[in-house]
Amino acid sequence: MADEPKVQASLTLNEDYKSKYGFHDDVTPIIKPQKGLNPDVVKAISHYKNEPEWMLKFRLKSLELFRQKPMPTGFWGGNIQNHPLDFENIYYYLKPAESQSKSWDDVPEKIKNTFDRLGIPEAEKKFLAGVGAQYESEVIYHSLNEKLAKLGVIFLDTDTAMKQHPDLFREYFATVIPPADNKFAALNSAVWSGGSFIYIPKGVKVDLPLQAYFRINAENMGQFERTLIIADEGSFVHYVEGCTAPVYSSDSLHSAVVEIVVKKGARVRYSTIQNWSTNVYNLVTKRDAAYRDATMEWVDGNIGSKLTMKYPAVYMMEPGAHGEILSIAFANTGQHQDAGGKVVHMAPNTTSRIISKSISKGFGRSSYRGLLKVYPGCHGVKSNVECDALLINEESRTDTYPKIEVDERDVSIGHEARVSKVNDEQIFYLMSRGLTQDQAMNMIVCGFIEPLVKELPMEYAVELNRLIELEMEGSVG
Amino acid sequence: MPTITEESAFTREFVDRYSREQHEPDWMRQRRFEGLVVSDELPLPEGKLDWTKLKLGEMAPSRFVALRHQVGADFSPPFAVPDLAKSGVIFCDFATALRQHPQLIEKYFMTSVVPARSSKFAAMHAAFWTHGTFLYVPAGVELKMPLRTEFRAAGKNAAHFAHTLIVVERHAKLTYLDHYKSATEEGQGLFDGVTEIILGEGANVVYVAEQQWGRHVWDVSTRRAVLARDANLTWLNLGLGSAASKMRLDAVLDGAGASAELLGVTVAQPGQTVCYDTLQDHRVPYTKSDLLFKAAVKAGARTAYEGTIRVHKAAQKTDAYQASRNLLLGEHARADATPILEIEANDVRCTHGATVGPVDPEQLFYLRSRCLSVEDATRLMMRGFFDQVMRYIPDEILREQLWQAVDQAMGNS
Repeated sequence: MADEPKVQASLTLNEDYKSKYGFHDDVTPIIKPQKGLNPDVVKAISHYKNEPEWMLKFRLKSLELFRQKPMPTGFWGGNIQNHPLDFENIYYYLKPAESQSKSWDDVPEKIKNTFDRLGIPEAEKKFLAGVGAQYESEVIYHSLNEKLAKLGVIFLDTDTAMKQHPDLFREYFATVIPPADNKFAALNSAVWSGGSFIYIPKGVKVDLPLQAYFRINAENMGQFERTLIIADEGSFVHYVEGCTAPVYSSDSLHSAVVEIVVKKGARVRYSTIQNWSTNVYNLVTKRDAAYRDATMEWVDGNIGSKLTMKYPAVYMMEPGAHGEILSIAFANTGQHQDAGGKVVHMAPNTTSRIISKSISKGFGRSSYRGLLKVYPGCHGVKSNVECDALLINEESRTDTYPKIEVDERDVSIGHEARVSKVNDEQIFYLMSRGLTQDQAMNMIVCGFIEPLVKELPMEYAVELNRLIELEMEGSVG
Repeated sequence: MPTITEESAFTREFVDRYSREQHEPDWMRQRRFEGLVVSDELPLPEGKLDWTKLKLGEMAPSRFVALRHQVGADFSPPFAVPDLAKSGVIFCDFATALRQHPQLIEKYFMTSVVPARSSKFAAMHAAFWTHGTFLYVPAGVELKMPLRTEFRAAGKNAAHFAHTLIVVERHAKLTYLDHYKSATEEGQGLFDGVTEIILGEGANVVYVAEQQWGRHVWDVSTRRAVLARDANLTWLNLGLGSAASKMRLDAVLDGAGASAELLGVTVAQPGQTVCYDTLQDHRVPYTKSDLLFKAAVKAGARTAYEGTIRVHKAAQKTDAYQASRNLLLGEHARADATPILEIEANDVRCTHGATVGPVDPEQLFYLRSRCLSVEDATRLMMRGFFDQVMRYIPDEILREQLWQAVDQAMGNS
């Protein structure tokens, strides 16, 4: 494989990301505190948001925890210590617009253009029950299907929810992921802004997905959205999030916290198509607590970012709970996808499954990092973990770090992982049928991730396949 | 834990005095001192063991062990050592080897295979080793009968440091067994052994480490084999005793066509913690490794397996497999498994699997319907469970003797 075509291919790819997602607009934020992280910045954020006293205290305490906590080392973490992440060179809060709009017509022109180019309003018309759009630190647009609102469904940005539903908010906020959980959860707790708040009342099933779109526009921006989903007994919701950012030469940071409470018999599906530009650090903590007979499903697609460290977790708190994590990672040159999942069995007769598929191309590195834990007394637990990794080029790298801790005898636990390159014979067969080598490669890669892609809503599946196709361009030299 | 030199008995003075008493060459004394310094610098290995329970302060390095070298299929005494010297084979205790073959020892002793720097306990071993075995097999020599070293340790609060150095030249072939044994005693014991195996081109080695320590011994041994081109290693680790163990087991595939089988049979007794860290290190193209570790975990016992397959950039066409199978036999039995893959080459086939679970109730039911008691049925199923590992041992008489040890360990339930 000659070097030259590869370099060219990666150039065209960057061009493509640039034209589709990598553009930026000259939006002057109306509020922009100084760079860096200190109690004054935290107080300023709280002040702008006109928050209650307890939240300011919570933020300041979290900032203290962030200072105390070391960077993740050892088992959890994709070698973040090797990355020059400068916490003082980041804007922790940027407010792009005066107020949140319920109609796209009221969104400031330039910002609306951004989301038009990303196709969000169009998607909303077609197949979504509700949309939230976050630009920098604030949610600038929010809507929810009227029928759902009448049924009592709450779909708001997190800041508004804190004011409109203070009791509900306080009951659940930071209960699944306390600030002391890890350094980045503490950081998010100190400077969080935006994100989605969802409450689905008892027995309500939301047929169409709710979507949130997160966009970073400014350079050296830190986005710290905070999402809280509460699915009451017997309800169902599918939440989809997407994210992109312009291509800059300096790094941005995205550090979200997502907490989900799935009550008795409820089911929540949380799908992510993460497509940050390759200058974004994506360090996210996602976790849910699933109660009796509840089902939690994470569908986690990681295509973009420079370094992703994200391990969605299912805590099965009561018998009959079921957790499912489907993870797709694609690491191209310059990227490290450190993805995976955690399933924690804290009650008997709970079941879980993790399926992870990763593709490493060029100098890219993808890692599966996982935890499967069964506490004492949790009999009848069944859990299975499968990891498949595909290596495209000689320089590609893949790792598997699964941790299995079992404290109970009467369980059935399995883990399997496979690493391979694209099968030459399969390529040969497809080429004998008239496909070019590139097409054949694409087809095999799409087939490899197909079991996960088919779990996504149609429109996202098409989008994901297209993204992978784009990334695969020029993989055969 | 305080550093070793602060402990009363593990001192530089002890090392110096012991080395002079043994009339060791200066370079060996120097390596001991280096080991001492390094062991103070390095941290204790991470993992599930609670090191605060290891009372190193109350222990002292032991100089007295019963060491027996045997040749032959039947290891029951009396035994005769056939004259191996005719074929150029050297098989003797380590101190003798140091006197008679200093160049060989200087070349291989904790230099390339297990340098003192590899871990705290390896460094401590370099400083305090007292006994051991040196086996040198010249090119082309094929030993039909298995060789065996029996290492019996005794003494309250004694720390033992035994070294095994096996150098197998081109196309030589042998079967070798290290048998570690002690009675259960009051207090604690420490065993910090190092085994170094060097396989030349096309060499073929079956190596068995049979560990039957008393229930007071902490085993913190390091074993590592380096394989040259087309070499073949079958390596079985039997862990049947000890209070706690933290073993480091590495196979380095350093020549095209090299192939290693790493095998483990563990019976974890109540109250015991058994930790294995393994590494299959593929450094060059066209190498193969296969790992199968099986553990039966009794009530109140704990096992932790952490195994890595590492494929270096150059090591295309690697074929590596790793399986950790754990049977939980009672209440409060626990098994952790962390099978790790680190792959930097793309044209490889690497797979691993780990399972944890109880004895299959349906199989048990079937055997009981055939009039077997629960105990007999369980024992039969355990034999089947371990047989998949034991069958790798080609020598039938040896395999039968190992089975007896496994059965004995299982029978204690």
